[in-house]
Amino acid sequence: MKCSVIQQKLSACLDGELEDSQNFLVESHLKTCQTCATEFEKLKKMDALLDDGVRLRPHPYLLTRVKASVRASLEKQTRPLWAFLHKGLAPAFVVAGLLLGIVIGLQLNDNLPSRATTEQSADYSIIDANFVEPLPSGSITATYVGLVNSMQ
Amino acid sequence: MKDEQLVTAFQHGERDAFDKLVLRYQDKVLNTCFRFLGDADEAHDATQDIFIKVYRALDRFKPRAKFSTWLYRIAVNHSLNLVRSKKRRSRLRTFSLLGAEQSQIGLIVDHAAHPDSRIEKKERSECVHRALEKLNEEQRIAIILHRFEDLSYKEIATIMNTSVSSVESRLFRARQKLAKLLQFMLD
Ligand SMILES: [Zn+2]
Repeated sequence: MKCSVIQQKLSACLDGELEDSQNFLVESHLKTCQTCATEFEKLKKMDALLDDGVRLRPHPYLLTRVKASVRASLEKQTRPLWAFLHKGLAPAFVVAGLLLGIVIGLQLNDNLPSRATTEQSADYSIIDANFVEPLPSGSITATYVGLVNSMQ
Repeated sequence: MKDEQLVTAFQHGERDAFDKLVLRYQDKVLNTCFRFLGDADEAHDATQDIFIKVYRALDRFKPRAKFSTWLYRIAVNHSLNLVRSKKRRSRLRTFSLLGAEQSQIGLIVDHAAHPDSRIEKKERSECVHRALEKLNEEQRIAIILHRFEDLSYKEIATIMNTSVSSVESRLFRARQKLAKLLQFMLD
């Protein structure tokens, strides 16, 4: 095998991620080729540099804080903010709020640089279809997401 | 109890199952964030936000996917978003700092201060972080998950939604670039 091909395999060889047959080829090449053997040694040294021994310890109150934050946002959601409003006025406020939200959203959308202009486009979306169930159709969230998507 | 059993328990109303998942993964999430962000305080804050996101989405998580894969994906995504917005903010500030990047990795190591050429642990960690920042996002994710989180090529491929062979080539290229950037530490 050519040295250039071998050298491309050195990283995976170091990680023990080569299949047995390939591993055998690389290892026997390293025994006979000084250039590739030197490359392999260099790679190992560089890799060892990454072991800076730094590992952070989790905050002892992490869980408490997470749960407090979740609880606070749940309380906010369930508190009927409009309870004090006259029943007849509530729908008008909701409509006005939605319209205002849409206008602000459109403004922001115009002013923000487009995602496509960022240098790298790697996107590992959090709410990924592979991992979570789709939003129930007809739900308020699904309707909102649909509305926003149709505007883009 | 396995992760997936805890997830199912949570989805059936046993909210305490979430606590076990946090305790099991807090170290991994925190240190993944730290490698991307390079700042301990930011990493702690990010970890907290990530678990809040997880709590909110856990009811809709499909148990046929591996929980850890999903969690790592959230951690990577969240960290990258923070890095991107940090970059945008610092780009605005760089006008006054032109020329600050004097060495290849933007860090000046005073070799005279270290006659035995041994770089202090903290400085070394800083150099490694600066070098990691110079990689493209895909290479950075691969090397962080592999070298610092000890994940296999297959696990990384699932997290990054790609093939094992492209993880292999991303790691190969990442190491080539790191070797150049960290060359001065090897001499
Ligand atoms: Zn060779």
